[in-house]
Amino acid sequence: MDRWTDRLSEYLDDGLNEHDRARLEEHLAACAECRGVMEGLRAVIRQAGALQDRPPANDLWPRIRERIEAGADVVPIEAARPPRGKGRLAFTFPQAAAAGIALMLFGATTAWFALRDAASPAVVADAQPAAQAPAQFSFTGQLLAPEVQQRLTELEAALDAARERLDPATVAVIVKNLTLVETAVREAEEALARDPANQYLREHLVQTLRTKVGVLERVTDLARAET
Amino acid sequence: MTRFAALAMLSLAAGMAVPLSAQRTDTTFSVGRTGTLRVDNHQGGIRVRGWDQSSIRVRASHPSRVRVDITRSNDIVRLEGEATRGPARGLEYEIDVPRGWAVRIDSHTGHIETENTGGDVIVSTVNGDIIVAGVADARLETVQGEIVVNDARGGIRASGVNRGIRVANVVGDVIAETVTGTVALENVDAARVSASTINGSIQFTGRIRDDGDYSFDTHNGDATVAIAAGANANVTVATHGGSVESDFPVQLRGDAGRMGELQFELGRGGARLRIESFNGVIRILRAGQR
Amino acid sequence: MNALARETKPEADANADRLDAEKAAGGDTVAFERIYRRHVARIHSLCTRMMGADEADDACQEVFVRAWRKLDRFRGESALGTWLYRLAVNVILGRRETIGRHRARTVSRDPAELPLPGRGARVDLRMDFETAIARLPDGARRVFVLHDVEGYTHDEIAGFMGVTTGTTKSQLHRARMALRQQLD
Repeated sequence: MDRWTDRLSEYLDDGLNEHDRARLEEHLAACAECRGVMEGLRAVIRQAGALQDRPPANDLWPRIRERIEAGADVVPIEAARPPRGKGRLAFTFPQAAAAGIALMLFGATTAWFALRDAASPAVVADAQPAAQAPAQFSFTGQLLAPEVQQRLTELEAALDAARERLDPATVAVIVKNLTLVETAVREAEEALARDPANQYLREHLVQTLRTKVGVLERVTDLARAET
Repeated sequence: MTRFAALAMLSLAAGMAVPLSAQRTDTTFSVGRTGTLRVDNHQGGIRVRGWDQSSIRVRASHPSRVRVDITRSNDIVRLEGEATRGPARGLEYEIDVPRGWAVRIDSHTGHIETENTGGDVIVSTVNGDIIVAGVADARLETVQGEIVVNDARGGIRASGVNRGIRVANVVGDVIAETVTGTVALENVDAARVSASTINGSIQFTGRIRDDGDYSFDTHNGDATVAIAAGANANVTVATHGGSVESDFPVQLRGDAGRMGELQFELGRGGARLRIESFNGVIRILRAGQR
Repeated sequence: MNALARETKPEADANADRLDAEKAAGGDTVAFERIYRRHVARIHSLCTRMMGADEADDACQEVFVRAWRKLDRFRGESALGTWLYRLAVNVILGRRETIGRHRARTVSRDPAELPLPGRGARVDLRMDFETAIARLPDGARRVFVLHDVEGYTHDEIAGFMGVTTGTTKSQLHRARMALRQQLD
């Protein structure tokens, strides 16, 4: 039954393709239990959509006004506001090049560099996730536990958006260190390719990849903090 | 609004930090024996010290467009800078708290130091060193800065990225990890230690407990572990391009362990001790000798 | 917003938002109060559902104070409400613990966590729908609130939380299945 019920949410959200939808509907016609589950899910969605918004029990405005009016002796800086429509400051690639980061052609971080120049916006769609790395780096896919592999892919996909929000100095430091980690990963993979039965190399590669996950998570957390 | 202030405002909006006349806040208020101090500071140094009073003293210097906001809720005291626009910059703190209070600091830029607060310390920052002395548990993370811990009775978790980590005189487990920089652990008495770096060395002196678990891992640096003569441990060393030096006799077991590793015993065996350096030299020294 | 999104704001409100945002960005706190009054119910409810009643007031204040500071960056390319809600989501998601992030190293016992404000056992025994939502595990609750209550799409939610839509879809399904059982 799980095989069918697992797809019910997608079905209710119109997320199934024609073929899968048809098969599921066929199954639903014959299976009362699944129909029951579906009705239950529908009820949940309905209830969620009907929730009322309630203002806070205490009026929060006085406290908010207090905070924003701190420094009331200062005239609002209308004249100093940047004019509307001006683009935000873009992180320019020449800064990273000046920091001496070598261009390499593997890993999501450096693929991003290869595709981006100072004038054009980040080409997020073209960044290669680690899962599609060239064949000689297939150890990464083999050795990482699926959930860690997935986390790595997710984080790399979010990397560009995250970096847009950070100040250039922090980005440079993080990029420099990510590159170091990826160099270490590459060295471990090359060594493992020559000596596949080597347990130390296998585990070292995994641990280095986990260090990479850790740094990427740090970036994502920082970016989230910089609204 | 004076012309000066208006110009300063323009500069601020353009992103330059023009110091307006500095203001000082100095306030003391009584608190209970236990509690948590939370400081959220975007930019500026923070120094917190433990003292014997039942009160908290907050001294801060800041530009006039920034103000210190102190809120209290149950036994949590929270300090935050408020600016008329944008994040509060240039706010420097010196805070005295009752010994035993927990301290939690969220910062972005600025040097952070705690001294003899005696309780737990949690610090998260980006561009700043973290120097902590006299704590219970500590959880510290930074990106650009160095982490230094001295004198702790509790677990230490230190995460850096671009600089090294130094931990000394600790009774409690230690996890120390960075990417660039040396991890140096001195006089550590722990059941578990995990130290790792990519581009830096690892140094350890401390007690090896019979039931302990100790792991040292670097990619491009040396790993040096100093062990007292009576230690009982199952040691695993592994390197790819480096070498191993040992003050202790190393008798390899018949099956030579797993591929890529050397395993041997110290004393009766017991503790799990793992020392790895991909490219560097692994040194196992007798403590007290150099 | 997907088809399950709440009814969109009446046009008069949207115009008022635009005008008031312009004024508030120039320092007009009275205009900002009007914005606050129009949007606080929804923002506060979002905070409550995502974080619990104890932290909701604090988080809600934080959202508006931050909104005040960032109004000059609001470009008008989306509705003010959408911009505010996005800001609220960021404030809320940013408030969870960032230290001790799972690094998946082989070793260990984590050092003790400090107690955070508001985290105590809830004594509420009514199993109404809001309570049931509050009992969901963090990730599932956030995705459920953002998708089924607030009407964000999986793509948007995945963007906020830095995960894939695969993850958000399975979290959503998990939440709905759990809530279904609690409603029976």
